[in-house]
Amino acid sequence: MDEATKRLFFGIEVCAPWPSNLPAEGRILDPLHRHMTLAFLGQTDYQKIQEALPNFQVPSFKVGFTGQFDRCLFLPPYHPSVLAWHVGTLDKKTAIEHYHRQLIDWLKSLDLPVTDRKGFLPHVTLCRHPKNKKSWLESFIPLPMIAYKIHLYESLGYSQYVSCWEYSLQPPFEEISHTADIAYRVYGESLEEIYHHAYTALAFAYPPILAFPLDNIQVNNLDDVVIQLNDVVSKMDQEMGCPFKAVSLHGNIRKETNNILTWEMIIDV
Amino acid sequence: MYKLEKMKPGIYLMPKEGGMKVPGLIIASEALLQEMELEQPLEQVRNVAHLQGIVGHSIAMPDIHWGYGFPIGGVAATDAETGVISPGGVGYDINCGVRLAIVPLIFRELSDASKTELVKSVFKTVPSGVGQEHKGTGLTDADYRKIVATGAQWSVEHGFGFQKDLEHIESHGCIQGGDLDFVSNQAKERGRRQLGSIGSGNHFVEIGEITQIYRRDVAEAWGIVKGQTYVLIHSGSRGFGHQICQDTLNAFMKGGYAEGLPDRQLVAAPISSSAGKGYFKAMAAAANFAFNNRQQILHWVRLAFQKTCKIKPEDVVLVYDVCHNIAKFEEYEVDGVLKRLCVHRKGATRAFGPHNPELAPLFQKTGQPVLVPGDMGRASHVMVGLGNQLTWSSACHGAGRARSRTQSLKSWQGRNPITHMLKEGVQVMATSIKTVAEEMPDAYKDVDMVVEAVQEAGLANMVAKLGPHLVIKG
Repeated sequence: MDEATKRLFFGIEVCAPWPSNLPAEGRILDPLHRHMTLAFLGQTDYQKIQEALPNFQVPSFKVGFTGQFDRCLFLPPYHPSVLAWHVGTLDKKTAIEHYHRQLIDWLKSLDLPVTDRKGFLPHVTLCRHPKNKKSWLESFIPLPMIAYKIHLYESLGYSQYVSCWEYSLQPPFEEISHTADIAYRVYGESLEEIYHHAYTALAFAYPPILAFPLDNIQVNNLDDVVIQLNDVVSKMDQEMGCPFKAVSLHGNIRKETNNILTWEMIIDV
Repeated sequence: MYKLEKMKPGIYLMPKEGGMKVPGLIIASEALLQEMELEQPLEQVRNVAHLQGIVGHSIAMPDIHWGYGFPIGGVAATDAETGVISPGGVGYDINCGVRLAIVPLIFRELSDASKTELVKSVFKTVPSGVGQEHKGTGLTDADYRKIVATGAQWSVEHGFGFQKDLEHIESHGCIQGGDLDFVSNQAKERGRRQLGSIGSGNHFVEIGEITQIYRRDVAEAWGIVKGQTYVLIHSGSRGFGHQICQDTLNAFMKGGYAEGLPDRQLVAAPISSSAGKGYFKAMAAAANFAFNNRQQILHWVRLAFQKTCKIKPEDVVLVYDVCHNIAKFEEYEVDGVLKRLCVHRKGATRAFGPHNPELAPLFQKTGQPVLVPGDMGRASHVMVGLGNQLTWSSACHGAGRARSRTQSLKSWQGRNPITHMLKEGVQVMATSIKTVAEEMPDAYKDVDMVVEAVQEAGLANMVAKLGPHLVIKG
């Protein structure tokens, strides 16, 4: 193999409360390497792409995105070589699809050997060469995910990857230390995003809340956000119990200098 | 940064500044002040001082830590005529509280097999953890109506405990004014099958032995003897109370009652307004639900002692039951005038001294018991109230957390906290091992330092120390 080339692809790192008890079969990907592929380059002139990276095609959005895994995907469906989890709901779905197209067009404009598949199938590969489909189907549970770091990955073979370069967006939320309860700093580019990202933070803390999805209502202010999140908490507590007493009214929405909205969310537990 | 001025031993003043209507008052020893992370909780003390009609000081107990709105370990009294009532000053878990019972058994004489059988029996009988509740249809609206109006009396009438228990509960197990008409259907649904269950988080049932007596006369009057077995129960009003708080906060926000306050979680309505009166009726309803909750948990623990140790239920004697998340109307002399005040205690315990007419005759002689749970590994304390007016007869409610749940969880990653506790002589049963990791002793301040600070400040005196051995967590 030519030392000046590397097997490369652009992907976005995916964080999730990954279960520790995935089926013990096939080749499981290290949680730190789980990603959504944005553009596959294959064997590529490394110097050429390094020279292009300072002008990298960045997304139009500044804050990363959230989503939910909704089912297993076996690729191809018969005799699969890959087991992935499909991302069923994505906030910013349209913006991500648009960005996927933009990135491919940018790579093409540089004469880089990008694979141009039709459409964008949001999924995260968990295992290569899965043998027992039934065990994967049975072990699947809906989980939330967030993504905010775009990487240029080098594939080392045997499902080993190394990041050669990264571009970081603002994470949708970050846990902050709170002595008595749990707290997150939530980020968004609109109130609706704050609403969805706050809900995903709750789902990271307690994934069963995903069985109680947000109502698609218009939120006009932070009070609406808190009231709607608490409606979810109430419904869950009535039907199956909930570790959250309530989302408090603490804090205000602030606009940072980069126009990103932030809110410090404290949840009584 | 906040500058604190030492007033007396264990008492520090936070001078009035900006929009504060009263100064802050911090109860703490010098050692605790050095250990504590004060920036955020003291900002909350300052914010509480902005409440309309606040009287005296915005007060922080030595177990103060960062909450939301009020600090946890915060006390604020407002004038009943001109002041406000703040649901955030009570918290979501309305009448979260603690009860202590004494069992006529020397703990060390119990065999290991009996102890294991006992803890298993309590774990099986008392639902604990997320989603764990009693089976069946639960409470009817008629049940609810009686519970919220009569408090713990309802449970006693339904076979959960004894009439004599009521004398040993703060406010005799009933806060007057509870009214179901001020409670939403959602609150009723959340609480319908939760009566008699612990819940999750820091709630627990604990069994152990009295390890030390500090005031023999008071301990004897209360039936507390060194070596004896005790039961400590910590729980509150469950989803019923959480929803009542949430419903009220939503209504208060819509009513514009947060204007001018530095933190929306402090939203507060005038006590004399229909919104303020409505909240008090709903809050009292939740408080009465909580008294019933702890009454029924004790009932199940009594049955476990009967089954495993052949101790009759009536021989498991309730010492006292305290609220530590509540707003109550109490009378105090302010500038030489007797005034009716609404005392908010958010993570703080009432500490009436002797001769208070609200107390049962036994406690009028001694002052009321103040129950201070520490952590599940080291100790808890029983104190006696001194009725100190400076804090509106209030004292601390626990050890207070020293580190966050996440920090605690991380520090126990890869280790089994239940096995560790067993090596330390404490058998823990829990629905969730994550909860145990979050609640490990090193997540809390040293409760001895907290009660010593309370004693130094003259709010309550130490009576007895409790050592945990069998613990049920959520």
